[in-house]
Amino acid sequence: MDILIRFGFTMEEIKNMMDTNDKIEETSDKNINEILDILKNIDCEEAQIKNIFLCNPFCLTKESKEIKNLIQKIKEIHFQKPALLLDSNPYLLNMQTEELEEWMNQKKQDNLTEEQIKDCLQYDMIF
Amino acid sequence: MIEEYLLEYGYTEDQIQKIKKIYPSNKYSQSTLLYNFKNYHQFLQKNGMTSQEIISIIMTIPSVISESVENIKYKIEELRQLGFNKLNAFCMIKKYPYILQLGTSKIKDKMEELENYSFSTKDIISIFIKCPSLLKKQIPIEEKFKYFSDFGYSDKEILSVLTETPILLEEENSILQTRIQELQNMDFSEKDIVKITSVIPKVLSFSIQLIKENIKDLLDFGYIETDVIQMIKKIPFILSENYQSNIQSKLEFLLSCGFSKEDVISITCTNPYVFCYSTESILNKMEQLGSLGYSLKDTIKMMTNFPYLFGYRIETITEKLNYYKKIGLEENIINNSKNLLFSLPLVKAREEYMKKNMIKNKEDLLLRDYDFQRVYNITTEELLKGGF
Repeated sequence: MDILIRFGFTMEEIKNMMDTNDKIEETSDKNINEILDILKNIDCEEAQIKNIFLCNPFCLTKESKEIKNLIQKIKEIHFQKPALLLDSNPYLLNMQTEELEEWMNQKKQDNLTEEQIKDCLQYDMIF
Repeated sequence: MIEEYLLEYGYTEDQIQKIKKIYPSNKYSQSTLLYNFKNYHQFLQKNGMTSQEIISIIMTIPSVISESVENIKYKIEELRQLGFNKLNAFCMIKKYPYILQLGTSKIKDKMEELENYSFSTKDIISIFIKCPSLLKKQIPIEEKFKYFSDFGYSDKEILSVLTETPILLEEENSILQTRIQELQNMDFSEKDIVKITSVIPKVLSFSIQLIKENIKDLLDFGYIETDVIQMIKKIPFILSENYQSNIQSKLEFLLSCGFSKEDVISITCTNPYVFCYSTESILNKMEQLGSLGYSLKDTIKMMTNFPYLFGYRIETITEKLNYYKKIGLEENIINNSKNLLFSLPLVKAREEYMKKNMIKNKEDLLLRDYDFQRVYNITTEELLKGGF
């Protein structure tokens, strides 16, 4: 939990996140740190990271590798600023990479262009 | 004398008769027996067991009484050396008294058997604490791995499912298959089942009646079953015990905040994570919207139309609302709060672009990317890069 305090979350915010996802307690600081690094690497600002974690504390108990793969998949559809997408829809991080891939394939089958698929992902509250 | 003591302690007449049969007075010294009984009772009670739990252990394996209490102390020490703590050891004895008859080498063998399948020591200890009877059985571990692997679980997921719900190691695959079939009948696909049970492995040990009972509160409230199934697919946590106790009170809380039943259903179907947020954090957000000048009616309208607001950080909401107020799009946001999904850096870049190009149609700031690009011939990436 130290890592969250060091990042600047207040005790009340940490309590809120733990009330929502009680498995945070079992997660290692190392995994959380890796998730933080992944988000920083896609240019997430501090306020955006705070919004993502507070809105969706479940992403803290996902394996950092899974998050990395998911973001990689998002980047594949040319989201050059995935940070903005995740700040708008933090719940996307709960998707499994295969799930996102399937969703994207379905949209392609529905004859949507890449730009339209991006739009749906950004604005359709798919998760 | 021993009879009176046992009766007073809480043994039934039948139990006492059984003990007398096992330890007839002509073969066993009654005073030694009484001494042993007292020692066992005292020792186990001192370690947190109730008299009924103690009676149950002794009646399951009455032979322990013929031995000194030192034997049980020795057994606990052995378990501790294998990695179980004292509390775990007593818990296992309580659940499965036969453990007292098992030799250390047998327990060690069982632990090694699981180690060979990549279970960590922590997992193994957790498995035997939850299901100590496995220590005395043939564990069909290979068969289980194959079953789950064929179904689509990764090795990691199999380890997690079996560690969380070791009872599955005891059950026949046919029982498991029946439960999975019942879940499929409820419109959960194989992938859904893998996803749900990777999060809440216990679901695999739930009977269909229990699952239906778990969603009964939601159905009674007015949800239709397909909506509930969709919510579970999104957040399997709905089926966990922790949230079960919470759901009814969360529904009542939302009603007490002023949301109608229809609002609550619509909100939670769109964003079932609302069930996971604390009432304090929801109240804080509503109060914050109030302090920004929004009436309760508008607050409810905005939160119902855009239930992500339940999760967004207060500072994020405030920043967005203040910005839209400043640029005169407050009404738009109240009526289409889903527009709060727009990222602020993008809207600000669009505002700058429109100012530079003398475009006055403010509502277009909130066009979806695809439409904005079509109308103004500039991509989101170009806008965010600036310098247009």
